[in-house]
Amino acid sequence: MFNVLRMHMYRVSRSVSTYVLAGLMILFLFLSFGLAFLIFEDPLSIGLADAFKDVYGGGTVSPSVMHRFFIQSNDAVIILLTIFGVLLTHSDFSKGFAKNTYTMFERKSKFVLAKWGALVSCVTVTYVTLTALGLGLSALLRSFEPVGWDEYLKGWIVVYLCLVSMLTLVFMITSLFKSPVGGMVIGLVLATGVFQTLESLLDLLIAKLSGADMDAALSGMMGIDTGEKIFRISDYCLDNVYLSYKSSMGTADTVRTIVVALVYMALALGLTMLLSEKKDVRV
Amino acid sequence: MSLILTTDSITKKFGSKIAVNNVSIHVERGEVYGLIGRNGAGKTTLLKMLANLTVPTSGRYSLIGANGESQAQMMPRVGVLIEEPGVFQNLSALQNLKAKAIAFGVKDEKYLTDLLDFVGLGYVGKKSVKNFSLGMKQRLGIALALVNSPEILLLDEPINGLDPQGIAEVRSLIHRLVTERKLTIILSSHILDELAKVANRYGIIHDGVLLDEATNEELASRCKPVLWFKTSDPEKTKMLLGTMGITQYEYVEDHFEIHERVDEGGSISMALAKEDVQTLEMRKEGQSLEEYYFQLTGGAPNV
Repeated sequence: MFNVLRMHMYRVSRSVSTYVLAGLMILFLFLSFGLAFLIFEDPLSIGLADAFKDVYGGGTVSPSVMHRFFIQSNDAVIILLTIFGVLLTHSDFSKGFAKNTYTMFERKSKFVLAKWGALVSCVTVTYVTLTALGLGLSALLRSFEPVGWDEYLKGWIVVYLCLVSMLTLVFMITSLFKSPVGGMVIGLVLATGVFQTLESLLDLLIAKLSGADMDAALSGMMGIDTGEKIFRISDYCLDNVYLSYKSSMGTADTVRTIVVALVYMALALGLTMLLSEKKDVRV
Repeated sequence: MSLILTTDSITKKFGSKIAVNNVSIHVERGEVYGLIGRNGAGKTTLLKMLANLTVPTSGRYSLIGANGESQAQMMPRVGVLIEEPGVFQNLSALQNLKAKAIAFGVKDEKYLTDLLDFVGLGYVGKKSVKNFSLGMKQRLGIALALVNSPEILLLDEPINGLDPQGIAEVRSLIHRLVTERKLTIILSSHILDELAKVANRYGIIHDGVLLDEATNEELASRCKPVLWFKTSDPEKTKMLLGTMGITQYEYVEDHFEIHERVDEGGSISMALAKEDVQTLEMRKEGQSLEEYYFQLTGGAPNV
């Protein structure tokens, strides 16, 4: 199975699109750096930093804030990783190459697992590279203060798990429908937060129907913690937990985010493996 | 010879359509098994099931190792070229082979270059596959199928779309695979003449059903030419045939079927006329593989 993973890594390394996407990723990282420079250094004295006080708290910026800025809140990262994930998952089917290899194992789920392994390996390499570049660029900012590494590490792991989980959803949709369209749509929807609006509306509806405090429900929708315990479906939606996660969150919220990411990942991968045994390979 | 692959009432349904219906084939080690059938007969679906690409609705297939290897051990020893070759167009021929070699744990790069030489693509260098001709791609497809040093090769319509030279090249490759590499090949085609040049056992499949399975020799005996005729006096005819030394004949219902000297219809007819026996009807019946196929399938000659 490891050989199949290596085969996927080999073909990815030989694909032009990999380098185009990597180039775009780095370009967007530098654009983000430009934006960070305008916000936190304020060379034009336009006071943009004030608008972002809620995000970074004002004053100096920590590695956690920059990680959120460069990777977690950067739509381009999810979109480009989605495109990459779809290409990796789909191209050996669309080119017909998959049919050369399916006599390797009796169980098709082994192919699924190997390909998912390749995807996770690529996402990990990208994530580590982006992290290193992000930290390197952050160090160029005068307002950057390298403190709070424990919080940074916690956030780094949580964001990584969420990213892998989202890419596993993209992997599932692309694998099962043998089409790049579904995976792309899922990736875009996750990146742009379209579902977040729907999830918030559902939260309000549930609050209304259950007779919960509507003020608290609305505050929760705005991301303000009133201390009131209200069931929110969005707390269990992967896109929402990813986009709303902050490394400064308490243990309960961090654990919930990790559990949601792991459950989605396990379900998506498990379902893909299970259905692959019953489905024909269309090449 | 011993069996290397069998299917046991293997069936595939797509919705209400039965693409392959209770097919049981028997392939012996070292033979070229020709799957004959018109387009849509179920050949490709059957091969896809054998290539682990399509899940059978019912029934199963068994790969039998010469030394008692299990199905799981035998599966990686199957090489596949189904429909058009599955290749990454932007990669070179060698890179495509290398991708499959990595998956199957083949580390010897010289083996891959030797394979390209074997299929006549040793000269292509770093040229992208997208710039290959159809024949070159087909040969690359065969090389890809050979990367894992298979014992059994599944080739689905390997000469489709090729020009006469390409067809001859693929045919020669198949001969070499059998003679030099001792491979077992299951080869599907709807071009019977071509199949007849390489196969030594046939499975005739029609509307998903296996109508017949026979070796070359069995087919030859089934397709043996026969001189078929009716006369006005069967008893006198029998005596005359005896005097002419013709012994291999049958009198069936109202007519004779002679299995020897079938080209001597004219002289038999003249001899009968001399004895005042009228030849009412006479024809030579004999079947080519194609005619036998049509007889079995009851179809028009449009395969």
